[in-house]
Amino acid sequence: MIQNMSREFRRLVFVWLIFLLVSIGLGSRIYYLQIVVGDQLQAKANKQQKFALKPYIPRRMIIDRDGSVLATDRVVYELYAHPRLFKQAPKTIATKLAAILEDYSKSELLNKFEKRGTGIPIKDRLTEELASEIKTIRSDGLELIKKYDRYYPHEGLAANVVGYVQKDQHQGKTGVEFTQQAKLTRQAEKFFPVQRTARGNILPAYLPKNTVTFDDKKLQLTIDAKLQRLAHKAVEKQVKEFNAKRGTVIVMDVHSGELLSLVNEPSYNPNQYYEYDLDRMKNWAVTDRFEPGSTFKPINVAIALEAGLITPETEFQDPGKIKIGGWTVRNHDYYSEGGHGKIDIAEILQVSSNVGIIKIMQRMSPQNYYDKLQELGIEKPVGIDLTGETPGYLKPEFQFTNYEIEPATTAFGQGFSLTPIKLAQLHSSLANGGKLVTPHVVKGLVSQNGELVNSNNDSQKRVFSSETAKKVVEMMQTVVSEGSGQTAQIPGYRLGGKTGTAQKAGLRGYYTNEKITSFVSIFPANNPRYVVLAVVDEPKKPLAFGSTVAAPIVKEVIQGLISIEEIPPSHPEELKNQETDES
Amino acid sequence: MSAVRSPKKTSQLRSSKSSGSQATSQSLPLQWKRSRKNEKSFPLLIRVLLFLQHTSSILTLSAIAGSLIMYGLTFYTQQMWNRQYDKLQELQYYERNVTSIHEALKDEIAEQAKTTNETFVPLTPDYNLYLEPAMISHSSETASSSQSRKVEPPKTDRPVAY
Repeated sequence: MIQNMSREFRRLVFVWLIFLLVSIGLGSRIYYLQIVVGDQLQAKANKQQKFALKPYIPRRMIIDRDGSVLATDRVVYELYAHPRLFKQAPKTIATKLAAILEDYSKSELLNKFEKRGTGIPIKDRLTEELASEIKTIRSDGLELIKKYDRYYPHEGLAANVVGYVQKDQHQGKTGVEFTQQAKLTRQAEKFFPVQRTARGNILPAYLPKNTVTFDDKKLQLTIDAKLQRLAHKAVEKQVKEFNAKRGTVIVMDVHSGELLSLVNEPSYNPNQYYEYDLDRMKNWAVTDRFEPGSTFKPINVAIALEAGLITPETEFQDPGKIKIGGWTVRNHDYYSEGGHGKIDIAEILQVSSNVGIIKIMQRMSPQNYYDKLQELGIEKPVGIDLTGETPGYLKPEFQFTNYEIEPATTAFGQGFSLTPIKLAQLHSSLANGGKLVTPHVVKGLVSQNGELVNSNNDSQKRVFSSETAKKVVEMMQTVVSEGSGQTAQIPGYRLGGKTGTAQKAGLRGYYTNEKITSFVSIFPANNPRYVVLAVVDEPKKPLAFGSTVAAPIVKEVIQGLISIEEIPPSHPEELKNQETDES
Repeated sequence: MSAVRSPKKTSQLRSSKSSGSQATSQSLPLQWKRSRKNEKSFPLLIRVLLFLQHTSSILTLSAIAGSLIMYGLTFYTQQMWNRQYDKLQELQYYERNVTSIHEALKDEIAEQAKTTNETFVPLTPDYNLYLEPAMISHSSETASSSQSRKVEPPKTDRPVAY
């Protein structure tokens, strides 16, 4: 048959056979690759080509009212070793690594490598510089895992306000970091499955939209870092000088409720939060109650004025002591000064007369007094945007209205307790013409060019008439000009103030020798804008009163406030006199 | 046998075809020239077909060019994207470092000011510069009136520019 075929035809068959064989070969290879080992190859390819892209989405920055950064995210790395995957000798890797990591020697690293085949943690919180140096070793088996780390460049400056972020979870635990968690975290950390080429380049076609874009809004606080630093320095000095347990300063804008400064001493460094007691991390101006003592007297005067029971001209006889329900209450200066005779309301505040204020409040029925205190929200939280707020405490209604001593002690600021922030809020209501505003530290999210994107709308509640509030501020002004608050005088300016030195109740309710000193000021007195409150707890040196311990702090803070906020003097002639005196 | 014969058949066919085409090509030029001068003499169908042929060949060429460009761009944009992504990461790295170092320096300087007070001016009103507001008194009135006398409208036609 074959011999019968022509030469051309045989050649044709030959070529055809070759093509047939080649196609069978190719087909079987395809069968092998696609069907027999297809799944394995697919998995291998996925492993090489697909990887999870974790775009840079840090926690939002926290900035102060001027834009100073109080908290920001850093990128850190965790280094793991997998000796089983090493392609170089462990010795060479250890030598190279030891040269980069200064706190490890070569032998220590080699010991670590011998522990396990995979997953040996070498070091965490490596900086980006060190991580890029380690990448230059270019060895298999060294794994760097990227993480975010919160960094507080100003350390303890606003730690009690800002709070801290826990290292492992990157979640806020206290302060603004905790309360504003939803605003601070942009979105859940996403991993995008991404395809890449053999060279390791990402194939952007497979990326979801907006992978690399994120809004760069920041969380702005109402805190002023400069004032915060100044207040911190002032309170730190007094706490040290009087060997006190702790101190706090609050500077509040009386119209908006913005807190320009909220300082706690002692503070802590949020970068190393794990080295401090939990007690230090709380913001005791918000979490702890105290008996305010005489700093509460102006509030009582306002209550009585509002009820129409007194006028600023009303006079009271002050013999220095008074007997109520079997208890004798004395003025703080009874043993040195005796009685004060006939004094008016402003003088009662100036000399901080307990007898005088008791007599004022005795004109009010205990039930009405109790109801007004409730209306002021003593037992309600102020609604500040910080963690752990404690509402104040009043004696039970029955006790308050049936025991004569209860309204009397409340009149001079003892027998009930409230937080420093609540006291600042109450004084703000005097300063702003009678409205209770919500104190807050968060301004809102701001865009790159400083525009406020969303802010809090705070409610205001009227508790005093503006006439009453104005009268009380005028009286408080005389406390600084003529009374117990003279240490806080600032030439050229007028401020209202009130000192407070309260005895502290022990665990069983009996008063101890420990005291808590405070000074509250309304500034400037002619057109109030700020309330400044300083509280120093348990000063242990003699001569520790509101006027000696807390008033100097408030004075220093207000002086700073004048410079920072550029507040013009209400009495410029005093400045001139001062200059001529000096020259 | 048939295999040997068949090529001959095809060659015959080919020659007859080519001779036919030659015949037409020889006779065509005159008609062609005429058609160039006066296209309306062509039937409508031919003209439409001619138009279709022209446009489709242009479209094909541009499609080929376009696909080549697109093919090139797919590689180029990938490279570009990766280069820009690297750049973005680098910028983010610098931004992080600059912010934290800048703020840490601020803190350090402020902390230094606590201990060595001489070189830093404390924030107290003593260091403030108070400017008195200008007095609005009789003397200023006379000054302004003398000034107003000076600023009488000029005698030129030119408008005064502000």
